[in-house]
Amino acid sequence: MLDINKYDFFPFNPIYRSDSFEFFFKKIDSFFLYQRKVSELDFYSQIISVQDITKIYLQPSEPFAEGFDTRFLLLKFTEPLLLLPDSSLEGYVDFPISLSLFIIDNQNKIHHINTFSLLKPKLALYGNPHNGKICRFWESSFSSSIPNEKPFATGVLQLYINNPTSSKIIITRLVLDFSFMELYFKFNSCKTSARVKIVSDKFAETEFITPRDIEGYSKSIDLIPTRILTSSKFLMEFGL
Amino acid sequence: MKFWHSITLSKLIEIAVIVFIFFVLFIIIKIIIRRFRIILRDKLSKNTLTILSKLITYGFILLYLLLVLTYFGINLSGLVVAGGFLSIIIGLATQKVLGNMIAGVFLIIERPIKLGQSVTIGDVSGIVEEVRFLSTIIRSLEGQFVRIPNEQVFNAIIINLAENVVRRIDYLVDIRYSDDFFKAKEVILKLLAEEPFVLKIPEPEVFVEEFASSSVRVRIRFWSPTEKWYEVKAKLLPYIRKSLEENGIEIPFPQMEIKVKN
Repeated sequence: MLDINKYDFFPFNPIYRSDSFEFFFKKIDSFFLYQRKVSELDFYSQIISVQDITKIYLQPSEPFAEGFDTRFLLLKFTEPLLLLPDSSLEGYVDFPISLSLFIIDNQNKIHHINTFSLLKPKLALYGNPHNGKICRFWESSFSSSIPNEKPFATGVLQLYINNPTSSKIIITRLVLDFSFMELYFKFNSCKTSARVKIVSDKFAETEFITPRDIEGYSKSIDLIPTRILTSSKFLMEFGL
Repeated sequence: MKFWHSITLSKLIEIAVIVFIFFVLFIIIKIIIRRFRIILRDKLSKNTLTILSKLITYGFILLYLLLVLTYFGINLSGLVVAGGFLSIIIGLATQKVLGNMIAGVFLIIERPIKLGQSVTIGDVSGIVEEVRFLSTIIRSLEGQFVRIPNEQVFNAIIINLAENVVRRIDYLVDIRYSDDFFKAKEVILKLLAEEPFVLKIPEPEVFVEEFASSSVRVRIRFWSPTEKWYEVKAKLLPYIRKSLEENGIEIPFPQMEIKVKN
């Protein structure tokens, strides 16, 4: 049995255990049986067509909502943010992450095998029932200091909010397209950054950017293929 | 002999150029058709796409042939007159068919229904299996094959259950007059908050619908992603009852108070 307390590569072992999840690997003839246990109610099992596993690799990933395909995160602020005309705000919030498990075969090739989350996802609608977006919902408090992370469950999002308009703007929520999220991790903490540009009292542009101070951090492998022809900016057009 | 003598080298070159242009255009049309088949593969059925491809291909061949005949000085006016008469006869005989076909084209353009969507067209509810030129095929909820002429589909009121990204779920639950409604509301909202596919926004609602003769009628409203709607609707009601009962709130039986006058 091997203990997992950080995101990293680990030599192959039939059992891996952390405080909140367990992985089991069992070789059966020409394939492997992989099992994951998060709680008594969350047990997952799958067969992998691989002859040999030399290592496994665990990393934080985008906040996927298990069982539902969405690439949007709706972040609701516990306290609304009031941005005065021509002002900006920098701060931190926490956000949910997923965990991605990879295996490395005897030819040193890396294969993604499973993504899961320690937090039960909650969904929310941004916009109207016809044209709106279904997003992963998360409520967080905006803070000037780095919030405490729950290892393997949440990460830290640094926000740069700019209001170049001549009106004061109240922001109660943000919607971010996490298919462009740049996630960096060190030991069992992870971080990313996003920029918000207010266009008017109803519209804003949000975009994930490379976080500052990433020395010593590793970048997570993107699980969503890069869409070259698509803009990385998301336009919030149904209110702020 | 006279015919063979009339063929000159320049004529042969002309024919070769015409054949060459035909093949070039034919290949271009085939490429365009293949592209359209890829683009439209989720919107039209395989059968419709095949018919459409053949119609375009044969239409092109016919048009090219007529142009070539005109180029070589063959008079087509007789053909045009005959074609005109034929069109009138066919038009009168196939009025309904043409009506359905035109409606089919408009259905394909407007797309009020798409393949695989759950819809109600007039009295028929089911899944759209195919939008053909003349008719629309629905698989009813009981698994029956239902063919509706396109003209009827086009003129009918269509309820598309899958067009919007979210749908609302409504439950009506009765509690006793002796039960605390606010406690019931708290229990129900807590249960809904734990279910991932019950949307947080729009917020679920729990309110008193009616003070009925034997119970307080409680309306529960919440939203779910359309693709999870049926799963959530079918799942939650028994859990609501269980949670209410665990908190001492019961669903009452009908009651009647009888007063006997001496």
